Amino acid sequence: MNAVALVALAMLAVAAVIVLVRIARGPSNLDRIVASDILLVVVIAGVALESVRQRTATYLPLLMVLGLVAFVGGVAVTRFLSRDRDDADPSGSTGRTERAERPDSADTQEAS
Amino acid sequence: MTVPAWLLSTLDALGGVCLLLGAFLCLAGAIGLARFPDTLSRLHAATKPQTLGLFVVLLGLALTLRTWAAVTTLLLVGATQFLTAPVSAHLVGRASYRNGSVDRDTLVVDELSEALEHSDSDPTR
Repeated sequence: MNAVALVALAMLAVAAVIVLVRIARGPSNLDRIVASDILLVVVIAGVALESVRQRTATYLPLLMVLGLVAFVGGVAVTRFLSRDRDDADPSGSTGRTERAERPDSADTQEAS
Repeated sequence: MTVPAWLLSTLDALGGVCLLLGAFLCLAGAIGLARFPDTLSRLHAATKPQTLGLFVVLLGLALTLRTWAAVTTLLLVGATQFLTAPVSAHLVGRASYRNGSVDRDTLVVDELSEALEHSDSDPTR
């Protein structure tokens, strides 16, 4: 059982490194949110594997808390990002964001 | 009540297989996240470890611990993950569509654009 847990933990470590590369490279912040969700799932799986290795149920509330934090954090940051769309995508693709942006800016200019 | 030893070792082996499968699904999701080209397909790769991968890991943990307290807690963890993962994925997909980072020519069905035309231009929706 110990060897199985160690092999699985090694796979999770590789997965975490790949996900961290994706978080660093982006390109947009929504990709980073998706990647951080996966990173938290990898952490949950790692805690579960450590719990298997020690054969203890002490870490089970930690799994619950991590799952809830992943959800609340992801939803909050996504809502925040959908407010200011310009900063959300530093890599470009401005042509398509402009089309969505235009009605808003026209409204505010007429109002002022 | 005594449990035969062969049953315990079988449960341990099943739990080990489940744990390895879950870790492999996490790895597959991470590789998909690194290799897929845009946000929506990365979202597709992300759902593998989020639901099936986590469920299999929790099943392996339950098969290893074999107490009712652990099984009920793990059911709670799995149920919250199954309920919350679609919500956050839906929000991310919608936000990426409104950002304009979705290539609309590749979509087969596009009902959100009609809904957005009928709505007012509130960007926070």
